[in-house]
Amino acid sequence: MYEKQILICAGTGCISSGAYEVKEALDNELQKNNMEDKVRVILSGCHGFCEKGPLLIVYPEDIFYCEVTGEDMPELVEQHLVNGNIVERLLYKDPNTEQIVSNHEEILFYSKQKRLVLRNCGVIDPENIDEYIIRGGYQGLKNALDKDPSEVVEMIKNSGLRGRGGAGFPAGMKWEFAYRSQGDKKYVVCNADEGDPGAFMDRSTLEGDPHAVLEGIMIAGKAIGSDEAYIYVRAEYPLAIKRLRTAIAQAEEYGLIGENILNSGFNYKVNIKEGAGAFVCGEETALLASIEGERGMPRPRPPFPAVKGLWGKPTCINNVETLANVPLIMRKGVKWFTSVGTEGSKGTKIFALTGKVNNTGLCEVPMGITLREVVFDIGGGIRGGKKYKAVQIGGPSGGCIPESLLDLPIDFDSLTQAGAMMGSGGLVAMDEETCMVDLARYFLSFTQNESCGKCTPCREGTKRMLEILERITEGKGEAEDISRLEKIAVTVKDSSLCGLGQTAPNPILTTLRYFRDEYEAHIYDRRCPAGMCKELLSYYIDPEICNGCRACTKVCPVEAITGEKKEPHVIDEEKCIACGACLDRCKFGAVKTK
Amino acid sequence: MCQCQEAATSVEENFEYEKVESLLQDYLDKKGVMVPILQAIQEEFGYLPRPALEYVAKRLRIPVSKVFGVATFYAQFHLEPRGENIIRLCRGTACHVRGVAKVADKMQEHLGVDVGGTTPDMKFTYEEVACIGACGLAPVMMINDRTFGKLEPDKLKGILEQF
Amino acid sequence: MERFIDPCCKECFNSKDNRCDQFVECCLTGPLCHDSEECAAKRRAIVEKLAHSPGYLEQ
Repeated sequence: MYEKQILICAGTGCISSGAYEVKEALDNELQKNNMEDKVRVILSGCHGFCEKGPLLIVYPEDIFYCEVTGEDMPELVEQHLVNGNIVERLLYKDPNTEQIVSNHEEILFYSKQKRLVLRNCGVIDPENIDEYIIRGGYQGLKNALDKDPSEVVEMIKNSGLRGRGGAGFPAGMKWEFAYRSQGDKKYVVCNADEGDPGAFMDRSTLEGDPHAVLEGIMIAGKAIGSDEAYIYVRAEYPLAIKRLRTAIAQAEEYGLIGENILNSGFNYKVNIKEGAGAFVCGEETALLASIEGERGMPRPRPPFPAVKGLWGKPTCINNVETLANVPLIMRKGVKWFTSVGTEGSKGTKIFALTGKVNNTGLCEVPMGITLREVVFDIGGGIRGGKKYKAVQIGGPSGGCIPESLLDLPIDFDSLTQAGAMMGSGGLVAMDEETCMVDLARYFLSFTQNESCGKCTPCREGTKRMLEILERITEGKGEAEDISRLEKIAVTVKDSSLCGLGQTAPNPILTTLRYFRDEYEAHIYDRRCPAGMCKELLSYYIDPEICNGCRACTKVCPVEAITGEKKEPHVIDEEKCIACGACLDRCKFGAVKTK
Repeated sequence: MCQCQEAATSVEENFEYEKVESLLQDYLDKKGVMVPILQAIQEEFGYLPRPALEYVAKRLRIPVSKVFGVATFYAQFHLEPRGENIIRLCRGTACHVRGVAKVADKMQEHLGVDVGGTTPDMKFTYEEVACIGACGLAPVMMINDRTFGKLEPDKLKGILEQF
Repeated sequence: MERFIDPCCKECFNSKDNRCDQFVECCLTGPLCHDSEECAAKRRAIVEKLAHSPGYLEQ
């Protein structure tokens, strides 16, 4: 028995903030104090609160320290572990109330969440299968093995579980198609090609609780009659790949993957395929082509992968988060699962909350929660006291939802009605300083770049729309550009081959729907209301602040700034090319924009 | 006259074909191996040398165009030699909203290369990627396998000097 | 018994060639194939060692 257990978050975020250095320093201190046998230090998966990393929790008293460094460890060990005094300066401080909080469940970021899929993330050591088992792991698999495949399919159907990777297709129906398909060989494919910029829930799940995904895969395998799976994971996620490999090796050692699992006669093999960097491979037919070693380009459906998938065999493709829900449903039952969520969207959804909120990170919330609760309670509101403007939800396939819809419940159908979509769950909050036209341009430049080029509407349409948006943000917009954009957007949406093209216009359509005035300001007034589009800004020097240090004159590439030494300077608007170099250079904040 | 045949069978004198051959051992007679083979070659050489791709085509009995087709489709593969350290600046949504553009400008100024470029001393290759999934710390970049978060233009110099 | 996969005593037959169908339940509430307070204590010791917080065992 240990007297204390210390959890250090070793998700990618905290590692980059220095979690390993903290661990090393802590180990050293424990050794110095002869406490190694009394205190266990655990590297856990992501706790979600990346903003405040590295995070460290001391159990059993549950004291939550944040933004710790290696240098804090001598004090932490001496004060907290030896003397029993909490180190107050390392506790979390609420950004709005300034109140100090020591218990992590009392922090608003956590208290509003419902962590079901992430229940083990940040709690267990992901590289220790015993911990997963203690937390109820592999009981769902055992239940599934005791059942007839059709019963397993039925359970997932009744649970109302919908795919968490994008469009929200019912997982049970997918399984049923694959179950009914005839074939000597069937595959399960786990889509871990998380390519949406702004989303990292799959990464955190794989890093923090890899066994949950493996268990979900095998339950799917049992249900559809498959004996082999592929996990297609981005090569950009080296830690997720490493933890998955460790988990597979341990499960094999325990007889939970391999031959005759739990003496049931069920055999299973799990392979890992590393993706090579192409957003379109998140589309299921493109993903299959990529596993087969080809260019990852989509093909028309039908035939659906459930009938003709990987190497022509019936294949069931689910995303990481979807599969991580499955063991819970099998263990705790359909009734338990359906008690959370809304009529059409059961269970929870994980969001990657980022952008201009105070608390960024990963949160899991019940379906039906409002955007307001996510942004203002969990996210702690907009940083720097700025004004909230919109959230962008669902990445390049999703859309922007304005302030007027803050009380919109988050579920698959409400979001689609609002013109956005759940997508994979990226949630980027924006304040008054974010230009919505520029944001649409940003997403289009992404989808245009990632368009595989196979079908014309997507290949040409995204290019033309991007050209128009670039023109508008550069102050060269034409009066007809808005109607042109609308026309192309609808065509691309209706006629593209795969999900990438069909959803690529969403960022444009939603910003046009909710923020048309910003487009008009750019086009007619040559003005960017958010003050973000460089070419539309005019720069001036505040004579009250400028002390004539001459620093700006040296960086101006076109010699537009004049003035005597120690006298206020002036910018010649005719010469100025609005590059912003003087603004970045001025230490006194005298250069301003209008 | 068409020269494909010639290109496919040409032999580069100083190229270490035996390295490629030994990498291929794990993959011959298996299906879906093109991407893993290219990943292995890139791991070994740091990029995909043309003779290696031609050799792969010959050994797998497929057209060279097919190998190039796959190699040029994915962002991960590079046909030119790259620097000792690979910088990947994230241009994801969260980083965009939190002002990565200024970091990117500073980086290019500092290194003196454009996106995709390598410094003349072969020390750094500068790339931009869609998202590296560390959005909580935006703006973010990776140098090799290390992640650096909460970037500011003025912090770059100090970070680059560590390499 | 350091880990769940280690046999608690000679009675445990779970192995590569002879998989126990009750292995998962056995880890937490076992042993199930024979009666032994000593063997049960070994399993509990693993759980107690790893469980770090009050909520840990809530499933």
